[in-house]
Amino acid sequence: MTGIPTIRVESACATGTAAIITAYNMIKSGFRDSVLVIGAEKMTAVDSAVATTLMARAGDLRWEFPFGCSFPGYYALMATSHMAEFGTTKEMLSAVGVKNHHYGAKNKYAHLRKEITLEEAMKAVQIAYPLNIYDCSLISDGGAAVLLTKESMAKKYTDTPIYIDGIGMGSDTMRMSDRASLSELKGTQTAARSAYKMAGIEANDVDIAEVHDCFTIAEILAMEDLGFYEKGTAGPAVLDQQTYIGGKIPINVDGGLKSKGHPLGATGISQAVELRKQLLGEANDRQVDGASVGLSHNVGQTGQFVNVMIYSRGN
Amino acid sequence: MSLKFGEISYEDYPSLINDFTAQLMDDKIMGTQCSDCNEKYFPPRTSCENFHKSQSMGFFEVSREAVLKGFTIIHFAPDSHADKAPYVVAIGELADGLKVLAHLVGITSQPKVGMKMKLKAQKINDERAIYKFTPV
Repeated sequence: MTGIPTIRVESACATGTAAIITAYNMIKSGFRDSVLVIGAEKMTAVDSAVATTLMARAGDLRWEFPFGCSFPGYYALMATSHMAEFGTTKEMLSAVGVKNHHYGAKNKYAHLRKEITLEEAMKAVQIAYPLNIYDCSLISDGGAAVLLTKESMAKKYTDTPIYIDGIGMGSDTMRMSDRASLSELKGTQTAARSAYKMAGIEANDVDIAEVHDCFTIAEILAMEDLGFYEKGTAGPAVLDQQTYIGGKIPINVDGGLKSKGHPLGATGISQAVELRKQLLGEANDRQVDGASVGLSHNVGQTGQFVNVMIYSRGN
Repeated sequence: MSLKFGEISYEDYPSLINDFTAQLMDDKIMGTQCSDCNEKYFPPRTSCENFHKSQSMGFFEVSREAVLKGFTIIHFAPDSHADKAPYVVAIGELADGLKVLAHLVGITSQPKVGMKMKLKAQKINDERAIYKFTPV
């Protein structure tokens, strides 16, 4: 591909969708006809301790990192806050991991293809209380790519194009202690509102969602902040298996970041790849019947970057 | 010698941190307040978010009374803190509404969101100081 113009995009763990949004705008503005969006990450070149140290620096380096708060630690602060405010339990957190491993085991592209029991998930080694190792996404190597092109040219490449119907972006403070509430991600709420508005839909029109479950609590926060559930009701819904295929809103039925893996820059693009399969009915034993609207939710750092994408088969 | 905040640092600190830490060593925990709109900030910062021409900020002493809003017990720590794990990182809301992230030390049982805490200054050595929460 030498000689083809290239651009590098970086928004921490939301890099993948940031790249898709960048490409979308290059095409919509008429600057380019087609853009190949590639996300790739190699994280296993360093050990987990070094990766933990590097990722902890995604927080406030001057005032919060000196306390040794790891990246799981920041989400754990949100977890204990959510638990105290809404009665969310450790069992509800663990149930997210059990579901994501259940579907990851069926996904041949997943990093950690194994089922786990609720008991295993509850008793695993502690990382940052209340989060244990089965509450944390994986340190993965991986890649994903999508080709974006003009609507008028799409049929040149495929008989079954997928359309970007909505894009929303949001943000939040870098410093955790600057947030009014620890039990929500404001950026997700903002991004979801604008994505739904652009697509002309509401939360309950979404048939399948890929959400940013970097930690189990993050999936619960996303279920609420995306508008699928009222604040405080997502935890019980997880226990009730409402996010399995056949439930109210199937979420991360490719294994999510938890089991499929989380190669940071590839994650948002991998969500698009999975939703394409689902919307075309190509997901085999993980297929959500009749899925026609898919949502992708991608978060960078602890919510400083949030992108929400709405995909469909078009009309 | 310039004074530094916390046990480790990754940057050359601006003079604000030196002044903050000097007062921390003197057992004073200071935020900054905008002279134009009276907005209070902690940790301290040099300019107000509400965009005033004067950019005039002054130190004020923050409340020491806090309520626990969220916490975590770090078991798998970043390299810099590996020998200290497990330890508790807490976010407390001070009586004046400002929030602070710091270690919670001196506890004998699992922390509970809503518990009352005190914010205390601690000198680490001649160059460094930090603040921390203790239970009331």
